[in-house]
Amino acid sequence: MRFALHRLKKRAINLVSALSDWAAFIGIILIGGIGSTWYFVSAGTALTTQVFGPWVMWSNEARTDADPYTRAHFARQPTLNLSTEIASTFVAHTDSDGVRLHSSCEYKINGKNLNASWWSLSVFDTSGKLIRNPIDRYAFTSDTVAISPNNEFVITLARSVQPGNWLPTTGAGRLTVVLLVLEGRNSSSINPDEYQEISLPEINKVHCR
Amino acid sequence: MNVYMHKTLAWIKSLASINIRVVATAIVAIGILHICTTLASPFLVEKTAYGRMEKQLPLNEMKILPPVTPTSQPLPFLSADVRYAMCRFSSTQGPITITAFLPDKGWTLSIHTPKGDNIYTATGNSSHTSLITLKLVASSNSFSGLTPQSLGLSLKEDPIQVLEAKNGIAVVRAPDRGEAYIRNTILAMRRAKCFHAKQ
Repeated sequence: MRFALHRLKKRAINLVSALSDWAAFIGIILIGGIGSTWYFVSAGTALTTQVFGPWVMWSNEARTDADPYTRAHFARQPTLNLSTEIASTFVAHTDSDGVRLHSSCEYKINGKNLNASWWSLSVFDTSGKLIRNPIDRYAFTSDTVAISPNNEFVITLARSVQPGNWLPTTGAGRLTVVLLVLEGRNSSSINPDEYQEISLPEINKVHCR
Repeated sequence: MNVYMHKTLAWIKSLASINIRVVATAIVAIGILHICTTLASPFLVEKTAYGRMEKQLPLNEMKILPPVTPTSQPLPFLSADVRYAMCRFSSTQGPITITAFLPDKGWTLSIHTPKGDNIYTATGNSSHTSLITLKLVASSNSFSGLTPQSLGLSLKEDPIQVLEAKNGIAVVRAPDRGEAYIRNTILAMRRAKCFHAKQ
C-alpha cells in the first residue's frame, strides 16, 4: 500500500515537472514572439525608421509598398497620413536628452526655418488628442511661426503663458510632438539625406515643476 | 566568493545540459509567432480611419469639416493647423471625379484607401495655382473614355489623371493661416468636388 502511494506520488511529481517544463517553454515562446513583435511595431528598427535626435520617422509611412512592421504600426493609429513620397512626419516622445516629454516641464524647441515648401509642428497627448487650452492654439506652421532675422525659431512648450511662439501644454501629462514637413523646396520628392543637412529642431528642457 | 563561483559553475553546467533541439525549436516557434502576430495585427484593430469617418462623411460628396479642436477631432494626430475637406468615395457604381483647387504651398489633395495607404498626393505651389482633376475607377482595365488627344481635340485644360481606387477617402488639406485668411481658404476649399463621372 505504502509502495503504491509512493509510486503514485512519484508519478504526480514527474507529471507536474513535465507540465511546468512545457508551461515554461510555451511561456518563453509567447513572451519572445509577442514581445519582439510589440517592440518591432512600436519602436521600430533601423530597417523601418530613421532617427534624427529625438525625432523618429517611419520610412515607409502610408506607402502602398510599406513593410509589415510599418503597416502594423500605423494600423494601431487610425490616421490619414501623407506618404513619405511627398511628406515626412517626424514624431518626438522625448527631448534631445532622451527624457520623456511631460507637461509638467517647459521645453524650448530651437530650429532653423526648414528647407521645405511647408511645415507644421503640433503638440498632442500620447493618444493623439489635441490639448485643451484657453487660447485654442495647437500648432505652429511655416506660415504662422515667428521667425527671427537669422532665420531661426524658438517654440516654447509650457503650461503657463510664455512670450513668442508659445504652445500651451496645460495638464496633458506625457506629450507627443509631431513635425510634418512637406516636400523639399527645390525638389519634387524627399531625399532622406536632406534631413541630415536640414538639421531638425532640438527639444531642450528648461525646467520642471 | 567560493560559494558564488560554485553557483556560477553549477549554472554553466546546467546550461550545458540544455537540449539544443529544444532551444532551436523555441527560436523557430518564436519566429513563427512573431511573423504571425506582425501580419495579423493590422486586421485586429477595432477601427481604421476609414471606419471612423464612414458615418460622418456622405458618399461621393465633398464635405468641409469644422475646424479641428479638442472637442471636434475626428481622428487622432489630426492637426489643427489645417482645415480639412473630405470625400468618402466608392467607384463601384461608376467612375468618380475628384477636383481640387490647390492655390498655395501647404495645400494638398490626397487619396487614401480604407487600409490607410496614401495612393495619390498632389501639393500646391506658391508660383502657380493648380486645379487637379482625378478620375477614380474601380478597375484600371475598364474603359474610361477616349482622351481629348485621341479625339483630335487640343488639350486646353490640365489633363485628367485616372487612378484605380474602389473605395476610400479623398482629403483636401488647406493650411489655416488665421482669421484674416479663412474666408479665402474656405472659398478655395469649396471648389473641391467629388461626384459620379460620366463614362
